[in-house]
Amino acid sequence: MNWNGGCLCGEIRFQATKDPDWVGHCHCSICRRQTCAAFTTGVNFAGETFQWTKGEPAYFRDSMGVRRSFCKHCGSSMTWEPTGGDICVFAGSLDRAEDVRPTCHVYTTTMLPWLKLDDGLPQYLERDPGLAANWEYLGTQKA
Amino acid sequence: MDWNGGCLCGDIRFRITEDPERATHCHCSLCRKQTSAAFTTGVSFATEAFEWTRGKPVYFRDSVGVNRSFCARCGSSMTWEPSRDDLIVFAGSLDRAEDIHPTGHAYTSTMLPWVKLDDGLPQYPEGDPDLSWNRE
Repeated sequence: MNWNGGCLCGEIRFQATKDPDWVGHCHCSICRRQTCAAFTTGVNFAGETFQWTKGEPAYFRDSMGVRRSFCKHCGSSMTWEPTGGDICVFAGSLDRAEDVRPTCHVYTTTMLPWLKLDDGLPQYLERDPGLAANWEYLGTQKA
Repeated sequence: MDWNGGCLCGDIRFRITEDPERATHCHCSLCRKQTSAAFTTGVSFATEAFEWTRGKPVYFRDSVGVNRSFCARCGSSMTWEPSRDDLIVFAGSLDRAEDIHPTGHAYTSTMLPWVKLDDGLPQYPEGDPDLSWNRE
């Protein structure tokens, strides 16, 4: 099933043509500082199934060496793109955000103390150990 | 006590010289679409206590006519500015985000079904009725 999404102002749109292979909440300090929300929810798609269908986003390369896309016009943060070919879309940019199925929380070492959740999902202090390790970024060994 | 904050890349910094009036989680579709997070946490300050101390953000006027600031270089969305007197800082832009005390959830009529909360805070289907710009 196709997954469509885009930014707040509508200048940027994208489409993923297959279902995501991983969905998880991220509490890392970089996600928090870019979105300014308490945590993000990453929805990971294989890169070959993803394309920008309208407009082109701007990119910022974060301190881990990973590029993050956003809309120059409205500031919407949309993706986190580790090398290795995956595109991790932030859930709120999806038209059907309600249909994703988060499976865990990552980087809970830096979870905000006032965030009280009751979703029963596993919490990993750092990355999800079960995740296919093709996300290469600084400080991380490829499995 | 001063509250400092800024964007991810550091080009933009701000300071607030008073404590916040209120902190409320917002589940509205505009906040969700701009941050792409499940919900935001808005920390409201008196505009007169707030100043940009390094760089200047760019602004986008959303569909309800409110300016939202962000950093042109890294995309961090920092503020939502609903009136002349009040300014909302999104919690994740604060250096001491852990020190705020959220008191409720607004716009829970559009809360995502997979957000499961256990914080005991009141949930308002629309705006937090105690925030002045929702009463006007």
